[in-house]
Amino acid sequence: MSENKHNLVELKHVYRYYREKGGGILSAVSDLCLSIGRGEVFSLVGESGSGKTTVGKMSVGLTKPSRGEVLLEGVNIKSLKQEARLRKVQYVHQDPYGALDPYLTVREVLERPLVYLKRVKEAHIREEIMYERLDQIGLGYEYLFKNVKELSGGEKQRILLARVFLIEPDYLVADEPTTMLDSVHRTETLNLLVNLRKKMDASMMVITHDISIVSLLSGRVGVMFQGEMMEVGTTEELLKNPLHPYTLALLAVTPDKIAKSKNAILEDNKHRDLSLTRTADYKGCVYAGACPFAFEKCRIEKPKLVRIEGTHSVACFKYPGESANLAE
Amino acid sequence: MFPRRLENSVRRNLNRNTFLTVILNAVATSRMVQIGLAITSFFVGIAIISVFYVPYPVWAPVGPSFAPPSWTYLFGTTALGQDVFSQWLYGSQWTILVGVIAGAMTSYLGVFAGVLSGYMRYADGPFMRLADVVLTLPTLPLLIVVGAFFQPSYFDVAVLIAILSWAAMARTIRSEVLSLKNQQFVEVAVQSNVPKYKIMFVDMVRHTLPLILTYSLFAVGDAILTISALNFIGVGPISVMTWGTMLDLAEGNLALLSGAWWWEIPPGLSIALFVAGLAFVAYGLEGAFKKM
Amino acid sequence: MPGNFAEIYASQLASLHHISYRIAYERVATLLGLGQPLYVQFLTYLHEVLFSFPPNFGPSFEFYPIPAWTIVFLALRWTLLLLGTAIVISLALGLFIGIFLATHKNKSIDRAAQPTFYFLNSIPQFWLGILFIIIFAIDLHILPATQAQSISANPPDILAHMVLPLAVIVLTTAPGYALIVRGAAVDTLGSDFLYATKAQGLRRRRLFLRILRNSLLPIVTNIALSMGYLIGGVITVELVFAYPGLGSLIQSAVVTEDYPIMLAIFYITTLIVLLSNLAADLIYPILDPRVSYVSS
Repeated sequence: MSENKHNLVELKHVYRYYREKGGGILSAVSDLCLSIGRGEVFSLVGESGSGKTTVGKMSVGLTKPSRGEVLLEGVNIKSLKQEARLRKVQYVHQDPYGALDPYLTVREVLERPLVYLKRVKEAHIREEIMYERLDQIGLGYEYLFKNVKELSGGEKQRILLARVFLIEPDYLVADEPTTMLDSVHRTETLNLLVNLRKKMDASMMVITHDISIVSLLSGRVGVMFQGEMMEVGTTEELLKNPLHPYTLALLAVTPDKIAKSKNAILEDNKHRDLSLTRTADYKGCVYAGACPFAFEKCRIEKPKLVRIEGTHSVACFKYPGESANLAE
Repeated sequence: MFPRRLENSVRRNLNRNTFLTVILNAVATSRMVQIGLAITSFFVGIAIISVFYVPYPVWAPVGPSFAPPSWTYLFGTTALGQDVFSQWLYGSQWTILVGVIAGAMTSYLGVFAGVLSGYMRYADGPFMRLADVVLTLPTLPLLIVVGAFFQPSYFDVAVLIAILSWAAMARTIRSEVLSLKNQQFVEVAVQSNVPKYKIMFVDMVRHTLPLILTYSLFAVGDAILTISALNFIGVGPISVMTWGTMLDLAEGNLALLSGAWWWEIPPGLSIALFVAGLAFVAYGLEGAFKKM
Repeated sequence: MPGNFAEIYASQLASLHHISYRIAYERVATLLGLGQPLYVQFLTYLHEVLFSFPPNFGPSFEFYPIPAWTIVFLALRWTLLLLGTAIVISLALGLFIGIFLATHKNKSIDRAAQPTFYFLNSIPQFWLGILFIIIFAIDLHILPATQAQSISANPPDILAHMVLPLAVIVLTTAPGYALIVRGAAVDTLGSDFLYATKAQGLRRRRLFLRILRNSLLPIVTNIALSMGYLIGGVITVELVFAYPGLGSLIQSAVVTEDYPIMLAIFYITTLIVLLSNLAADLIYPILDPRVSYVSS
């Protein structure tokens, strides 16, 4: 750990509920602890609806947790002024088509954070910064005068990245940075993201449903299911030695040979029954409804994250071990 | 490698405003917009001419009473021998001006209340309850009562009309802003620390501009109709000559029973045509924006 | 505020009973409770208007001592007759013309109809009334121009008097409804569920009923929302034809400075708008197919 005694971002036992239309309450994230150190890359993996985006948005203060607190450098993010917070943390949206106002020009998109956030008063300095950033993301200066409408999806994604790197935050969340792109631009954009992050020396959370791109990133990985953390470990630990049945299932659908042979059992994953685990007074493991290894205890008690070795922790009764507190 | 300033500004103007191009495109292709523009610009042209030239004094008697249309008095004369053509020419100025002022104030209030209640949650309740109340007020009876009590000027009437007719526009804009607010680009703007008033009254307004434009055109037309009805009932302002004032005077001087149709037709038909012209432009543009 | 009723009434009393103006004014003041503080007077007024039936607006100034409400109520019957008939006719016409245009979308009749309808919608109603009087009453002598009935009042006579005012209101409102219905019907005709019903082989009549039902929805909302505007139109049209409804009454009240009548008219028109909005809210779930599907 660095010389600073606080981690950059800490989520302490956060919960997030949403009110459903019928009057019910949907729990998007429950009792989640997470900490991200300076300069660290953390990938959050899970299927859609698992609460990844909610976690990402909570960690930058875009969404307020229903319970628990989010700390930025040891200070509760709620108590920070909007401007101070936004200089430090930024969130990159998953849909480049929706995240850029079609009525704006690229210049306006890039100039707004410089004017209102970085408070760069001189127009020529702003221009210089914008040219520099456009150059870094591999787009010419003429893009400054284009309308957002004229850009392709890949270009929009790059502009979004350029916008974030103008701000030079300490921590950024990239939500599904590659999902909306075609496969050619996918690795390219991901590499760009990784390189720019390195240049800025910022911490980053990458949110993705695609576990295969995790191998391209270094750092830790968290696997989420229904608002809870199932397994955490470094990329290497998790991909070489996946422990949790859900992680195995995720790897089974990727065209990875090693994982496939290991997870033949999980082929019948489709008939999973989540109706039980969704009821209000259910106290067991959220994955029990779909887990082929589930036994009596799984449906009664919730497994805690336990440390297996190093940073590798898993929340499953299959693996006995000492309880791990990720917030520490 | 930095581009020259000149090139800069040229490029900026070329690529700016897709919104304007839609309007220009509508003007070039939609028959409805063309007819509407022809009608409205005809009357606006007349209004501009009347600022510089009116053949006879508007209020003074210049000829015989109830003279039918002739080359000397193009639209005939009134009961007092005033020239109807001069009155009609001069009346266009004020009719259009008052209508535009009332319409502009209506849309100003409508946009303000609509955007604010759509974007700011705490403003939503109060503004929309107020809109509910305003929507149930019958405009004309209320204006008649107020007119009888206070003898308002044209400007007062324009303000009153704005106060009584912003609600429908505010509602529509509010629901539009409510759905816009959830779009990601708003979150991006928030993350750029763009001030709230700027997000509301620049970004949101820019996205609802098609709505605002069509509603404003209708607001102008409705205001003209309401004011002329007030004039006709006899509680409207008559301080300056408008088409409504002409109809009021014609009615008061029994133009109909005297067979002086030339006193009634020009102002009434002009109101109908001008308001219809505005409606043509509005509907034509609405169609063009839908295809956008 | 022009026309102080107490002063006018007192001077009338003084000259009638040959007493001094001051004594007459004092009597009037006690009669009307002018000695009480202003807020007490206002609260009494509010109480009388809101909590008594029929609402008590006090006596009319012009027709003293007949209560203003009685006079307004007499006029209201004519206005409601005109308004109700006009709405029914406009609604029916709007529905049929609108659906007809939708089924003939982009044919020449549809293209010609649209600008014509916008134009009709933009005519000042009172002016159209004046034109009608010139044409039908003065030049052609086929219809009565003023009043609601002759001295020998019978149903055909009342109907004949209604024709011109009704024609004006219908001509200026029905086109707007037709355009709204057209828009809704075009949407319905293009929607998937109509394809489904066609595929099910429903008869033409059933199909027509479906379109009708779907078009009724926006038009009912529109009528309720534009009720204030409709009443304004009826008032001006009544004025033109000297029809003895609220329109003529409000004008004479303005001329004679009869404030109780004006306020009573304003009160009753607001009530009508409110009630029509309530009625629309009640009709809405019946018309909205989505709501009815859920409940069935």
